[in-house]
Amino acid sequence: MSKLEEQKLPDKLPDSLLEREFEIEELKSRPEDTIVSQELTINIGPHHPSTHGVFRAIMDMDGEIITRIEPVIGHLHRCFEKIAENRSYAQFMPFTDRMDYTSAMLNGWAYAMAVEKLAGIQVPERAEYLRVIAGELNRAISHLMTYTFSGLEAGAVTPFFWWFEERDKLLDLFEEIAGARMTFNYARIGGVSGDAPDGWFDRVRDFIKTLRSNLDEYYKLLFGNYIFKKRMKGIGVISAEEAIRLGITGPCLRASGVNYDVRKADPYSIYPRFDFEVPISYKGDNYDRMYMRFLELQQSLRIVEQALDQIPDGPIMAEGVPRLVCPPPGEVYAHVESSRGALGYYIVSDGSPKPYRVKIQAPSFGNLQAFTSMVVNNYFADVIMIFGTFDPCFGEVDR
Amino acid sequence: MLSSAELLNFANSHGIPLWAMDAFIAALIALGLFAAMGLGFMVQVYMERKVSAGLQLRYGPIYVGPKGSLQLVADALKFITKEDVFPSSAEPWIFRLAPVVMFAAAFLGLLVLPFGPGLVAKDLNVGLIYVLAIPSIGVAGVIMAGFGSKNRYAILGSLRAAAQMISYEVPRSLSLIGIIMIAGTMRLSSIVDGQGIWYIFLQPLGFLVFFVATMAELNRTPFDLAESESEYVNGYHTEYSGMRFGFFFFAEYMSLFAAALLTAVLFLGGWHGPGPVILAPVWLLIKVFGVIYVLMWVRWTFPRFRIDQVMDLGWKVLLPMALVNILVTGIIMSV
Amino acid sequence: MSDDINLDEGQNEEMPGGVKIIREEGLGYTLTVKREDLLKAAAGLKEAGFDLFKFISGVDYPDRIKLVYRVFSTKRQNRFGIFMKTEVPKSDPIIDSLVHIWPAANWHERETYDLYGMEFKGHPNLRRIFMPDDWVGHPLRKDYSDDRMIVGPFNLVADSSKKES
Repeated sequence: MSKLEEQKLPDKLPDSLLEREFEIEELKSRPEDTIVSQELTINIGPHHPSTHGVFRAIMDMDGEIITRIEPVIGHLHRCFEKIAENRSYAQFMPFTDRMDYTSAMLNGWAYAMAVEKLAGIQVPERAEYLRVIAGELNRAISHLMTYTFSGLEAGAVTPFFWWFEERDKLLDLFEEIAGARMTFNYARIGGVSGDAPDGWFDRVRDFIKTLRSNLDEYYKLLFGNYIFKKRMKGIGVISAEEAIRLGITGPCLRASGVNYDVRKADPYSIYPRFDFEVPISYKGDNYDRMYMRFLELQQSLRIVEQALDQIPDGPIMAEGVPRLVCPPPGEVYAHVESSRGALGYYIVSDGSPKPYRVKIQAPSFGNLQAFTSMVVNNYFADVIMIFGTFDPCFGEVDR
Repeated sequence: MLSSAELLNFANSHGIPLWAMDAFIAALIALGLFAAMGLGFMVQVYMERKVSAGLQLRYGPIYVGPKGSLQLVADALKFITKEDVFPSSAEPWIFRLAPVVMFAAAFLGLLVLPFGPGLVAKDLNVGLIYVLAIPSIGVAGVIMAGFGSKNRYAILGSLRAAAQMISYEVPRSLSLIGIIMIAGTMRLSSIVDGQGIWYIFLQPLGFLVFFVATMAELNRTPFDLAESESEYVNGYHTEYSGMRFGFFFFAEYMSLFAAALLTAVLFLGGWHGPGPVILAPVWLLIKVFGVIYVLMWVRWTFPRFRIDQVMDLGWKVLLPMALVNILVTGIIMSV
Repeated sequence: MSDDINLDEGQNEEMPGGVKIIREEGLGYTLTVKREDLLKAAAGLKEAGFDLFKFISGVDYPDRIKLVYRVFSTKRQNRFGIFMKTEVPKSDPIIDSLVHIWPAANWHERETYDLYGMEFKGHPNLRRIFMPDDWVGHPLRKDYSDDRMIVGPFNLVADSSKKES
């Protein structure tokens, strides 16, 4: 660590580090032949290859084992909630894409749902189906990313590059309906921004078919690997009670044996029409957390296939949605199951064109909090793996 | 080729002292080896890029030179022209010496390795011991790099590397005892000559232990804990950039080549192959690059172990296997 | 509040202390408590099976800050969440911390402290979480201003006559 960084360190540290400095002074005054051991403080991030964004953690290490962690977040804080208070309802839509950028479709959907609920707008059927198709495809590819990214953290670079191919194909599809490849801004208050062009549904079917047939290979590449299994099984175990206590949601919670999926617990949109299962497991270790994602991915593909079969013709925007939505005064809460957990929007309206308050309940925020409280007494290498299985997205944590 | 008598005559008649002649010849050999290694380095880096790209559904380098084959030249230019970043808190001499030590250790290891019949810088009678011992000095370079750069990632990475390299030195050396017993010599060229049947078939267990331990020695992926980029950023060479990093890079590929060459010489029949003697170095190089390809394939496919699992594998699995190999070889030979 | 409580539609349950759970349009089950009763109400909810803490949201009104807690029950057969609302005067923004009831509230309370300046009594580590430690002011307060802050690009006037075609 360079001098510059060492000088910066105490800024955010609690008193415990000051105590440590005293310790160091004390060590210096001892006679030279005394051998003393001392924990090593290591600074991870904000720019580190495996922090999935800009996460900083100050860790004390006893050999290779972590004895203390001090997380520092907020490097990506843009205060979207304040921005929302200064924009009209529709103008805030693009910002939602910049929160969980790996499953942006689901973010915009959740926000649109909240505003629609507030303003009493009925979304046409076809738009709902398009949202489901786009959202579930986005969830599938996001889960696949988490899975291949854990390989990257374990040192296997190749699966991640394979994922890029699938993602690129999907982004081509998204580009056709949304016009963008990364921040889609697809959901609109009252519908979606674009209808599916000719032949798009067939291309989606082809995409699902190839992804399905490739999944076997993905599975073998990491889950079938002895070393990977050794790195994942029995590591970072978290019980159901503990998971609830720490406020985890999403696949990580289901891996611990709590059957909570917003799509089933509080069915929104048109989910009751689809036949799908919520995979659940009970061990709660790294492997299960990742395996849940792998199974959910397949369920997502199943939902998309059903949606493709059922999709009706019709308009994609609700009739009579004003350009400047002015919902009546009131409060509303809408939540969806995002790829990382329960994502909710709590909006307070005072009747003006701008929201009075927008609160974003980000699943990664809760998951990251849980992660930081369970890493102690693990190997450093395992901490990186556990971090990968929780997969917080820092656009969302810092908002 | 000049014979030594002719050389001696030449020296005497022109009044050149013998030591100068020796030094000249030594420098020539070193230069030759260096040039060969430089070429080998280029080929290996290009190969690594293309192999990894192939496995990862990419193209790899395509722009510089035909099919991107001159990419390394561009990289070398970048290395040379890059600013020499020297961390203000680093220990000046240790930091500067570390790449040199690494490079020298890897280079010295090549001295006894035969590239073909008679094509060897110095055919020592204890070549096998030498080739195991000298490259291990590289550990000192790793520790110096970690210690000198005063970076916590670097020091943790270098300690990992040291622990791992020293641990795997033991099964790696022991796995070759079987070959020494069969061949009855430690001269590498004699070992090659003795391989009517390749030793990989006579010593399958020994080969397995040797190959895994070699991977660990080379710090390549199932065992790349020293550099583990997802944990310690870049391990012991985190603080190095420009040409200093280039030296580490070069040393790494030189030891990769040396390890592959040793594997080919010891287990894969060396330069033996059909055709005239002139083809011997070609056969050897084919085998060497075959081994390098396998090493790359493994590197880009597998995830890495955790440090305690690496230690477990070395001491609890490979070491007993190597000992069993010695025992079995001894029993079979005495029967 | 016993475990066999039936929170069906239209049925209002009573909490100890005369607080009622009502169904609010847009939010679902809501519980409004006084500031002093917050800890008691929270403990009651926890006992009744609301174990998963979701978020805290502050809402800044001219004279008071409203705090909205969202908790969720994973234990109950009919899984649902509940909102708990309380109000704190702006002149005295102190409230009891719920970290000891729901440990997951830790970061959420820090966030509310950071962005609203709400003091949580009994919080083990009440520091700023998003903003730097030396930041002045609490950004989500309506009276917060900063030179770098970009306030809405357009002058928004509601015009319901313009309809989307």
